[in-house]
Parts: sequence; C-alpha cells; structure tokens
Amino acid sequence: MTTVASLCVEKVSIVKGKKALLTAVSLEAQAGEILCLLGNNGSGKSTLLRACAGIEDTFTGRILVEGADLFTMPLSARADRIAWLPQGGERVENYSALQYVALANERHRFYGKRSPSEASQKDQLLSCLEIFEATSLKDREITSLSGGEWMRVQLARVWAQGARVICLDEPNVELDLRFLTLLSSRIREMAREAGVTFLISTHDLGFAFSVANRLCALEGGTLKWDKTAATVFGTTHLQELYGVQVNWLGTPGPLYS
Amino acid sequence: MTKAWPALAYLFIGLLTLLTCWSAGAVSVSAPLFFDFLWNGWHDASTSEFVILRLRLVRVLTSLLIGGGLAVCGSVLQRLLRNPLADPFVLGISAGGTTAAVFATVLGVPFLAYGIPLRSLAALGGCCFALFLLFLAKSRMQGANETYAIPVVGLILNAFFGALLMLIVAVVEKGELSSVHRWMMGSIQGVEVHELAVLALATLLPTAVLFRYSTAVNALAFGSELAISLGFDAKAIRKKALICVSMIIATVVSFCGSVGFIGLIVPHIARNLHQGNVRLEWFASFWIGASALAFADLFSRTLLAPAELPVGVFTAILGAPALAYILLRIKGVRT
Repeated sequence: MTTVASLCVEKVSIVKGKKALLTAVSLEAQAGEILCLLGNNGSGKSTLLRACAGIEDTFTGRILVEGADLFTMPLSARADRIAWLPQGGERVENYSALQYVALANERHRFYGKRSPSEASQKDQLLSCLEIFEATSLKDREITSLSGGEWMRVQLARVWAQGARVICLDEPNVELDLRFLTLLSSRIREMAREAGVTFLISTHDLGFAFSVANRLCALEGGTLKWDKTAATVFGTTHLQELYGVQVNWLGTPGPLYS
Repeated sequence: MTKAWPALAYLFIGLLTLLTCWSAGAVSVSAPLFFDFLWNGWHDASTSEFVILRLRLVRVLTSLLIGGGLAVCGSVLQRLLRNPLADPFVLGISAGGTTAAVFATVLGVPFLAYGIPLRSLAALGGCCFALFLLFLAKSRMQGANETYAIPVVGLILNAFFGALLMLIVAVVEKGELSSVHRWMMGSIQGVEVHELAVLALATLLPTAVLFRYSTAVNALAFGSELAISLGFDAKAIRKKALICVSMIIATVVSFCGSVGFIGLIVPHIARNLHQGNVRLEWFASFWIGASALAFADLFSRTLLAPAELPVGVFTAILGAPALAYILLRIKGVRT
C-alpha cells in the first residue's frame, strides 16, 4: 500500500504578464517533514508558498493535500488543511492580539459549521499564544507591538488554524536569537507530534539547518535541487546557489539550541 | 467574549431617541396629550396635535432608518476598502444615486408603480455605476497611496455627478426645481406612511445580510489574500456586501437625497468604542447613526422654526470639521 503524500506539488507553473515566476516545480512531502526553501531574491520561494496557500490561483499543474486537490475544494475546507504566514504581515488598527489570533477560526462561525464553545475556543487561542510565549501580549493592540512580538502573534494565529500543512514565508525575520531557537523547536515539535508538514522559506541558513529535514533550492523559478540537510552540509551546493563563498564550521546540526 | 448588555444599551438609546424626537418639535405637545395619543389617538384626527404626532412619528422613523443605514454602509465600506475615509457621500456613491433619481423624477417616473419603487431602482443603477467607476479606478492605481487616492477618486465622481445634476437643473422647468433642490441638499420631509414600509424593508434587509457577513469582513480588513488563506471567499463576499451597501444607499438617496458625513464619522466612533468586535461595531454604528440623524433632524426642524433647514446641510456643517479631524489623526501603519 502506498501512503498518500501530505503535500504534493505537481508541475506547477505560474506566469505573470510575460515573466515566468515558477516553471514546472514538483515537490512531495510526507507528514511530519520540514522543508526549507532556499534561493536568491526573486527565485520563486514566496510564489510557491502563495500557490500552496491558494493565493495564486492562475497556475498550471496541481497541488494536492493528503490526496485532495486544493482547488476543487471549498475555501473553508482548504483553510482546514493549509495555513499560511505571509511575508511582512499587514497590521490593522483597533485589533487586540487575541482578536487577531481569533481570525484563525472565524470561518467555522461564518460558514455555520458546528464549532466548539466560546470558552474552549478561547482556551485554544490562548494556548497557541502560550506556545510562542505571547500570552502577556493578548490584550495589546497589534499596531503597538514590536516587529518580533507581531511575528510571534502571527505565528500563534497560524498554529491556531489547526492545519495539516503550514507554509511560513520567512518566519525568522524580526525574531531575536532566543525566539528563533524557540520557533525552530516549536516547528520540530509540531511536525513530530502532530505530523504537520512544514514548507518554510528563509535566507537564514543557520535557521534552515536547525529546523529542516530537507532543503529545496529554487533558482529562477525552477527547482534546482531537493536534498536532505545532511547531504548538503559541507558541499558546494549552497556556494553555487548563492554565488558566495560558504565556509563550513563544525558538524551538521542546529547552530543554536 | 460576547455580552448582551452593550447591544441592549444601544436598543435603549434608540428607543430613547425615538421618544425624544417624537415628542419634541416646533409644535410642542404636552406630556398628558402625548400619552393620550399613545393610548388612543392613532386613528383620531380631531385634534391637530394628533395629526402632527402621526406625521412626526413617520419622520422620526425615517431618520432613524436612514441614519442607521448610512452609518452601517460607512462601516462596511471602511472595512472593505480598508480606508478610514470611505463613506457613501465622500466616495461619490450617493451622488451617483442622487443624479439617477433626479433624472428619473424629471423624466416623470413615479415613486411607486405597482408596488415597485421605480425611483429607488434608478438610484440603485446610479449607485452601482459610481461603485463600478470607483473599483475600476482602484484596480488601475497600483502602488498609489490608496488612503488618499480613493477619496480623490470620490472627489472626481462627486464633481462629475454634481455637474450632471447642474445640467439637469439648468434644463428642467422651474416648477420641478424645488423637488430637485430637496435631493441635492438632503431632506427628510414628506415621506409618507406607505413609503416608510418600502424604506424599512429596503434598508433593514440588506443590513441584516451585512450583519451576517460581519465575521468575514473582519478577515477581509486584513486584505483579501489573508482572508482567502483563512478560508473566506474574498471575492464573492466583497461583491455581495457591496451589493447590499448599494441597495441601502440607493434607498436612502431615493428618499431624501445626499445626506453626508453620517456614514463617515459614526463608524469611527463605533470602532473606537468596540475595538476589533466587528459585529458589535456595526450594531453600534447602526444605532449611533440612527440617533445622530434623528437628533440632527430634530434640530433642523426646530432651530429656525417654523422654517426648516435641510438636514443634509446640518450634518455637513458638523461633519466637515470632523472629517478634517479624522484626516489629521490617521496613523500611517502600512508595514
């Protein structure tokens, strides 16, 4: 019996105007795998994440989550399966952090599905804030938060959505070393214990090596290579990808912990 | 998180407003007489006070519906366009509807024919046309600072429809001018009982639909991309909400012309009172807007009694400084 991949990207191409943003990208990830997308600016990392989150809807190819086509299911069902952290998440005035995190589950109320009681729902939201040590921020207005605090609140929102696949677009920016370490341990926990699949774009190689099982390199909208973190370590792959000298120190494994 | 008492408080404020504005006016009615009317004066036309009370009730109800409807429209538009300056009047949507309604009147279209509010339908056409132009402009101005660019489009639309209206005024015969004037300035005079039923239906139904959409519009405030990823069909929801908004504006406009600024200022008050709770914010918006217009109308008919000021003039005198105040305190959070 073959197991159904948690996330399956099949020959996805996206053309905007005359520019090809992605060309025939194929990826497959099993439940609990953590994939880091690497590549220079404009290589298509964010576009691939947006496509998986259902934001880019004019593409050829298919994206399947646990065997189901993402674009034939209703949007609310899609949100049950995939959560997305956008780059540079926009803030709106007059929302507290807790109210923002609550957006993660509003679809249940709107589409009239049976939803848990408000008290248990609030507990769930608070526990997601707790995961990122942001409980004390719950009543703060989101426009008043620092960059790092806002990132942690956004991550709590993504966690609260309860999705099977989580796409994070540069979650490490703005976080200090302590919270960066916390984030990578939370991601690994979530992958290991709940079998959630992660697709993460980043420019921070230290973060990538501390969190990922697999590294996927994008260049000019095509997938250049897709390897386990251990096989990339010590090779010239990254040197070729970024066009800079990479000096390997020590042994593979997390840089901080 | 949800408590019933703020909602009840707003209902109470609404009731209080109704009773105050109903009992007060150019012709004063003594308290005993007022209660006498409540008890058994509904079909009694023998005293002039009773007739006045009946007329005044229709008028107060009209102003409540119109004020509430406009305020809700403003709240929805401000969320959907993510613009603190959005309002049916500022964006030129009211002007589009007014122009269409006036054009229909001049052509001799009756208000109601076979139970169909024809003039409101004409206004709906005008409102939708204005909204279409607005979104066309919005889609073409990529990269512009939308907070300021959208009101500028509204300015252009207002100028355009204003000019069309002037054209009609210049061509039309003198006898019809007074009714045209009424529309241009915004006035709640002369709504009849059977028209009130149309007004109630055509404002309350879309408002109810909008309340159902409040949670989704909450997510849309963070941009359609995030809303989609949170499971909301952003495009469909935006379209339906805008249709509801156009219906309310068209109804209001076809009854009493462009009443400005209620839809701009009241949402800001409501938003500051109920941060982040969109459902309650809109509910508050409705009742604050309703009460504000009812009181504005009360002042407009008592201040220079027996002469009457058009209520639109009154809201504009108060509203323009308030708009300036809002402009000054917009914070540039766009990161």
